[in-house]
Amino acid sequence: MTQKRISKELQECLTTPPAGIKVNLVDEGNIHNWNIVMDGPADSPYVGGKFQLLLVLPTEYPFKPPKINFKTRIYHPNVTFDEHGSMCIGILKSDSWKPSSRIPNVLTAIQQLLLEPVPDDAVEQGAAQKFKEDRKAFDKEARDMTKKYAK
Amino acid sequence: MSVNGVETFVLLFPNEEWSNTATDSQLDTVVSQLRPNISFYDRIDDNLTTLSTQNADKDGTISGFLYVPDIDKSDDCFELSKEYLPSNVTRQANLPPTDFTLVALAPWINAECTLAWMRAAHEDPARAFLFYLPDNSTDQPPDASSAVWNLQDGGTWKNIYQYPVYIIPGAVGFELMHNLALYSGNMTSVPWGHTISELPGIDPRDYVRMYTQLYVGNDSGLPSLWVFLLAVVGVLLFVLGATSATMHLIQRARRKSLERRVASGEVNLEALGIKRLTIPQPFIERLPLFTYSAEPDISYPTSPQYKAMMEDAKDIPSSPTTVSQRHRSLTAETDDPPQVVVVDDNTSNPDSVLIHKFLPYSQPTCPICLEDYESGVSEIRELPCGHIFHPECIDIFLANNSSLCPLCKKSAFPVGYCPTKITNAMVRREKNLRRLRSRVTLDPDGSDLEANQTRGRLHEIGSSIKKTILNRKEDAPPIPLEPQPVLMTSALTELPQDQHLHTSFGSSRSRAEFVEQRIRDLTARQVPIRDPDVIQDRRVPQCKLHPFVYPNLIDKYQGEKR
Repeated sequence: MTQKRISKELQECLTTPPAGIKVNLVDEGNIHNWNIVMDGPADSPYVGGKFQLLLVLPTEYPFKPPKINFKTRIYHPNVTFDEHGSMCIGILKSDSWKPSSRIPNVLTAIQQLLLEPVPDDAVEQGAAQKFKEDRKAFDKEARDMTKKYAK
Repeated sequence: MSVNGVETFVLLFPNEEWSNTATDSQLDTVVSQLRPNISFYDRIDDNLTTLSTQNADKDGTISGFLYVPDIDKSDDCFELSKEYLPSNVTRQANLPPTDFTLVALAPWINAECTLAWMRAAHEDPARAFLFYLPDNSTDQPPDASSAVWNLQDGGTWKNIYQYPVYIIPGAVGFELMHNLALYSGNMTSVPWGHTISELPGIDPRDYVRMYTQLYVGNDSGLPSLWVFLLAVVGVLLFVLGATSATMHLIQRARRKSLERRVASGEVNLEALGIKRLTIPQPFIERLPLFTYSAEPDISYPTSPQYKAMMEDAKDIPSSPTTVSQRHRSLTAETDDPPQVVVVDDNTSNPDSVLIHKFLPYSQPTCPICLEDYESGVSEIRELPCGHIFHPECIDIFLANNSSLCPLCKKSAFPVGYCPTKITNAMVRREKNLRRLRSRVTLDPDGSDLEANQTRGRLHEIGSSIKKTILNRKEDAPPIPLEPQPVLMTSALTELPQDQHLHTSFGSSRSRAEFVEQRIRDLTARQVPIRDPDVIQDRRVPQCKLHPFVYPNLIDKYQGEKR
């Protein structure tokens, strides 16, 4: 069932991906690891950047939430600014994950997070601090980092 | 080891000088107690004070001939004591020469004379000493710790004089002393002397003397300090026990109450994040199974709302035409939000039950495997909330992952069943959550400090974001802000169910307002079920927004609270 569901979702994402998102498999033989390329949303300091994400679907999917990490460095209060690029997003927490949630939902939620950081749930405290206190400086920093890493 | 009783009587004791049988063992048989009607007899059990317990048996009797010890004539007390003693009182010289045990008796004149008497008794075979205050009182003598009995030597006398010392009331002591004088001479001089001498086998030379038995025991209780300590410990134990029992009872009552509410479906432990539950296989098997039918039975009444529901229910999310159709209808509906609410309101809408009965069969796709049901072929399992799934999909989920419907997070447990043992920790968490929720609802003005802070902070962010969003909104297509009720009730799509998605599409309201509104909505829907009919209606779906689609919000408020 897991395989069937994943392939169905993959097909959907390949044929009609959400706006600004490209999906392909990391390795053709394994449908559990997806490579995502997400455009920085317009009206966000990340605009113009192309962000790579790694989506890992567990074998218990859809009963367990997928794991998703930024492979491209991103300066964002809710994403760790390191090689892991772990993020804190409600939809992927195991108590709020529902088997009926789908990958496009998750990807759209991440786009939304780029557009609207949640500094109160921050994992990157420095960025959250700057976001709250000096939005302009934060935007500049985020733009610079986007230019530096996400080209 | 205090004295409990003093019994004094008169003994007839053979005179050794004439009796050849006077060996110790034989004496016992010869010595006889005179009957009370022809001799002195007295027994006191009350108003006795124990000063010293040296060499007193723990339990038993001390006995001996009653006598007054002889003080050295050179002592000042010798003259002083003459005032208090009859001249012919029984002395050791008046007693049989046999080495018998003695009990000394003397008035307590002053410390000096008491010591003199005790010193004198120490040289005699005295087994005990009885003192009395020469005040002719019948009351209890002062307590042993009283200053009256202070002998000015720091208590060392107790170690020097190895016999117990007791105090008897003054009047009793006086009477004993009086009789001790009467029974000091030969037989003819004692009371009833002639009667006694006429008894058979009596020699007029025999001694008739007073004999005392002291009954010693522990009956008078433990020393007062111990009694006090025991009382304190007892009271403490009682208080502890009572508190503990009360606490246990209260906790038990609370556990029972929560268990009842869980069983009635009013409280959902898993949705509250209190305990992860799974459904045992027998319960899963009891959930109804149907064969999916795409064609609904059209015999239901057709209210406008019902038609709307039908239309909505027929929508297939994957079909582009119907999606756009739905968007159109939603855009229209959001122009008139109150109507949407009415449509959504299960309790006020009599058609809701009918709509529900129709709904499960109208869900065209299994939300878990995303496969469409085949009409007349696919087997489907219906959860109590009305959502349907392939049994092979949902059964694994319910058995291994969660007891909640994957779509609306409503419990799939049957009514009247409490799936787990309720612990005190669960009771506490449930109570905290309930209190938290009620507080947020009851303070719509933002008078609540914590909520206010959050709101204030959120407002700052919100206002800065608002500009961006407002600008964006002009060129973005007007997607309705709150299409959730109708969408959710249709139980068809789960698209914008997550918090992040809610705020995502061009919200013109600040985040703070959204949060506030949302929390209020949540609490408004968590109306406790009291009416048994309502409980019966648990099968009626409440597939609209379930509060715990938004656990993050609750978490946030909890975080603020901490």
